[in-house]
Amino acid sequence: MFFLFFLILSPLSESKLKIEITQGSETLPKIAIVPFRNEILSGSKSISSLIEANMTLFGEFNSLKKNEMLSYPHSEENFYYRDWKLLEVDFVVIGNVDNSNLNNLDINYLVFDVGLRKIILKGDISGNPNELEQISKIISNRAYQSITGLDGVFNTKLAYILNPSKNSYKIYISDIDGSDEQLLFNSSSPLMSPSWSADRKKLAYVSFEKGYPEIYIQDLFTGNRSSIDTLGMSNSAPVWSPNSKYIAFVMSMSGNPDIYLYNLRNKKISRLTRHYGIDTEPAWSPNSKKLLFTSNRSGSPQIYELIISSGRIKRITLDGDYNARARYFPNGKDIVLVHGNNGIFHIATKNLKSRFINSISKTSLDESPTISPNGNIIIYATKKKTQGFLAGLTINGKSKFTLPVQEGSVREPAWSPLVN
Amino acid sequence: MTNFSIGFISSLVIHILLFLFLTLDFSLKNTKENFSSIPIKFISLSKEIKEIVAMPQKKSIKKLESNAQSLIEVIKTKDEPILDIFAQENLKTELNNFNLAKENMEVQLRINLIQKRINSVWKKPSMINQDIQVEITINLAPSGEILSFALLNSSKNKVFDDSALAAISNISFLPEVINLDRSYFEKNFRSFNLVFKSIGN
Repeated sequence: MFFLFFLILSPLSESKLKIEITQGSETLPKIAIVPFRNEILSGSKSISSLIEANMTLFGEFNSLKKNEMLSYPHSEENFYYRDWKLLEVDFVVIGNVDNSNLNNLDINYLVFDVGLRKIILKGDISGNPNELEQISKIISNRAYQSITGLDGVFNTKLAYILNPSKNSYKIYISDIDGSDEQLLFNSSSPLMSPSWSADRKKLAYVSFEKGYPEIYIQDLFTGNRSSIDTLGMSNSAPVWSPNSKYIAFVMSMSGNPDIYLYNLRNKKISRLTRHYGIDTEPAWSPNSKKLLFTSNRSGSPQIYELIISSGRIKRITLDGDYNARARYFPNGKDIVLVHGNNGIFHIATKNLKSRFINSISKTSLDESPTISPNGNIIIYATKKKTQGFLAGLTINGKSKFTLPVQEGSVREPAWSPLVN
Repeated sequence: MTNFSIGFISSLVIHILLFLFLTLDFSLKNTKENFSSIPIKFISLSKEIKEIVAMPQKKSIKKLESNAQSLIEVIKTKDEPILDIFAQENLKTELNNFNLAKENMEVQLRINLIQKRINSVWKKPSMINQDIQVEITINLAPSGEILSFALLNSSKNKVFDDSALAAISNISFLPEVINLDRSYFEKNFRSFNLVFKSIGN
């Protein structure tokens, strides 16, 4: 009897076949931005073209050309999933512009997931027609977020140093797509290390205008600038803490660089590292509790992590003869760094807990990586012959891009935080 | 009188015929000597063999019989049934192993093909070192048609879940199982699970 029971039960207890899928397709998701009803032109560009330009900016999506679309639906009722599936589109954005009030457009839009045959976003935004580009960026952010689950970064900014000729240095701020460039500071002495405040209202950077490196904080709206008072000692590599309370920086007391903290409220300076080796290039963890820094205390530049409350220091990189200029990813668990071996420098990522360093850039003189606030894109400076320019890639390695080349060498990009 | 003469003549004829037959026979023997000698030799030879073989046989059979009897008794009581089971089991497991190996090979081939197909359509969301996975259960027809699929264990990341579900709804067919032995199909692919992982090569 028991045996019979066992026989009946045994096929049920047998575990089901499990097939693991880990790779995914090499092809990018395909999006279609359908021309909006009554869409209004901004210059020569329509809302849908602006959104399309944003969504494809970092090479994260392929897009379907407007003349390849079978129809231009404007509402859920005349949207047919099979038409888009036929065109192998994964996501479709459609919309309507209510232009009854020409000073305040009302735009509603929908994002469809063709694979799942469902609407994943319904949005509504209104604004002045003069600000169509900004409105398009917000729609792009929302659509991007609904598709990828990551924050859209289309209205973020980039700060960088331009070195157009031998004795000319400039700090610029532009939109992340390179448009709307604004000169922030111009000097005949070197400028370095731009760093954004968390509220995006200020920028800290290093200027050699007095003959030695000194940190300046510049208000982006008033243009006021002031240096950190360090009693004439050279100081550099400022980084603004995400909680806006501190600037971590490097100061050389008696010629040896160590990491210090500048309290923005009471303007007091406290020392964080105390080592005869060089400690430099601090970077804040997203929770403002830890710092990464580069130190040659082991003989070669390596990355270390410092817990500010306890002062405990832990070595992070073990492999390679050069690991420097680290930055945390927004998850606080991974870092991006410059990984060098035998004179070749790549941008690499590393999980704090694993030993493995993963090189992600293919060019060879790469430096100063900056991570998008959503953690998906890295922009870094690289060189072709003597010309420095900015390049970027998505962390899954599927997309690589270069930013438009400027007159002169571009260095040290700094991606702004998101605006709330 | 006539009866006597008939009898005499007929007996004479028979005698003449007998004489003739005998002389003929004699001449036959002479002419075909080799032919007739062969069966004689053959018969004698066969008799000799029979005797030689038969003589010891009669004795050894009895011995063998008695030996066999004791052997059979031993086998019946101890070795024979165990040996039998062992042999059967060995054969069974060997056959099973062979069938399993065959099934494994056939099934593994399909698994590889299915992995390849789903990898080719899955637009995996980009995420750094976020170790998550979503498990989806699939019901398949022997024709390869996906009859139904459902989320079994969510990754708790909606975009990740959706990307996996979209990949499956985009294929609707897994022709890889079409030529598979029906019993293998029922056992492995009638209902199976797909595990989409964020980390892996």
